[in-house]
Amino acid sequence: MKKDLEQIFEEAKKIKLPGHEKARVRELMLFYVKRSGAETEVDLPIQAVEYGFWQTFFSKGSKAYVWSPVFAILVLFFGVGISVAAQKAVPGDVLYPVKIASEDARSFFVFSAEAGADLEAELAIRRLDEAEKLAKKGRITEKVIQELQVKFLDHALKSKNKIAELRDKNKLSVAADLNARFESGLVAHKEALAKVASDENSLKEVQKIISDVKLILSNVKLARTEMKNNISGDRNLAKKNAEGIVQAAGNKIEEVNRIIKRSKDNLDPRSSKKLEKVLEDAKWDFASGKASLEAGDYSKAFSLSQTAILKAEDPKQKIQIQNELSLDLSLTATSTPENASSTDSGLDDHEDGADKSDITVGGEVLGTGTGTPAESEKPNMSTSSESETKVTE
Amino acid sequence: MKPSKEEMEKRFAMAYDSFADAIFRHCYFRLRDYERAKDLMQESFVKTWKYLSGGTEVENLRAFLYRVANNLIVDFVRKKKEASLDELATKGFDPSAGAPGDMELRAASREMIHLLEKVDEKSREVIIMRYLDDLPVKDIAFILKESENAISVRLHRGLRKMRDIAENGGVK
Repeated sequence: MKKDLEQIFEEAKKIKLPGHEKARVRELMLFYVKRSGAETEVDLPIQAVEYGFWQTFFSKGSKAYVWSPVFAILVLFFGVGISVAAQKAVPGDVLYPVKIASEDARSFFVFSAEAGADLEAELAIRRLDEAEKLAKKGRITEKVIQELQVKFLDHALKSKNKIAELRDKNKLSVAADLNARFESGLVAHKEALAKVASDENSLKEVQKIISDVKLILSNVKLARTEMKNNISGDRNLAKKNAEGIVQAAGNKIEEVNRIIKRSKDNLDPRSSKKLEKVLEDAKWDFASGKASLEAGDYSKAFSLSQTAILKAEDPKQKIQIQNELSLDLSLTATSTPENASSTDSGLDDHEDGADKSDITVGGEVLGTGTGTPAESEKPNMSTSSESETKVTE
Repeated sequence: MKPSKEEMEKRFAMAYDSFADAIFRHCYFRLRDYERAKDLMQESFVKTWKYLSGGTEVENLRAFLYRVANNLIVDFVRKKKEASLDELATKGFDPSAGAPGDMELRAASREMIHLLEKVDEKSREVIIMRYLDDLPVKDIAFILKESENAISVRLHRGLRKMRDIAENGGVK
């Protein structure tokens, strides 16, 4: 019997992360380690909040110090046109540095966590959009994808942190709205990346950034579940947050309704119908959420409204992708937010062939390097001879 | 002489390779939530790096990582209402369903979780550290900032209870 307990412990010791997940977290961490403490553009948005407007612009080492006068001069002489043209630029284009400089300039006017989270999420999606355009043109290289990966992760992590900040300040409705919109964008672009590559080499390169998208997506989905679970507690606060997100869901549905109507002429009739169906589903969730709010079930109202925003954002993302890449995602059924559930880990490893059962069992040495306990340190489970320290009761 | 940043980065990468699985497993059995365990494991390393790069001297990196992980777990549990496995099972949530791996391992994690659920949190944390993480009592005492004697008492009592349950067929 004693052996059964020991056996249970021995079996449990074999639980570990699958190799590919451990490797992905490692990459993310080393990215953080390498970037931490560096004076680079990565740090500037934080400096904008901490050190104030003027110091940020005029302190040496600030990227704005270098770029913003250049950008300002370019805009003065050549007008808004250059700014608009630059927005379509991708890595390797002449105007790409202008695009990045304008993004940095925008960051300096962002002071609230809400605006910061929104901007960083938008910039993260932009990096994915750039990867898609390059992949479609067959212009994607290992170096370019690495740069885009670093930037994507940087923006995504910043957005995630700002959303967490809002959550901690009990601004759940705002956090949930931002989170749901970001999640929808990630789902749509994950699909677009997988479909847009024009050749095998491009496909191989985009797989790298798809892995990063999956990692961030799992974090974002987890955040959604946590926010849903956090809504109970102080009743007045729960009511306030539920009202906020119901309102946000209503606004989102109106916005996407207008977008679909405007885009109808440019869409395939079947696509249009599918997108309208998704929006109908969102409206249903919104209506149920509103009813729950009126009935005083704030937790349910919150959850339904979150889902409504997630679903409503999907047609908007797909229409944007269609406009940018001429890629119609609406006719494919995979990975729509409709399939989102609170226990969905977000890591669709089955799509790329890796699956969760590929962890090694017992064959791999556990705890390699320092930290592997010496045989003499391994615990003896016999309570009659717990000799490492005197037991006093 | 203080190591260079590059050297510190290399050592930290090695520490990750050595301890990531163990820290993850520790978080997993403490929280019974696969995704959250992954998140906290990552956060433990990031936080540890912040301390190291900020100049904190660490003699025993392994124990330090566990201390950081433990603090994160305590903070997390304090914020959340801990649902019992039974309640979760009624609602259709199976904590071991999130765990990767083959059927045997999922069964192993389920058995372990069920046994751990039967003891209080204080006993659970020391049992996991001693018998799953193979940490010596001295390190556990450092991590939890308690005396070695107090740790041993808790281990003795907790293990006795778990053995009684295992022997009397309480494992599902």
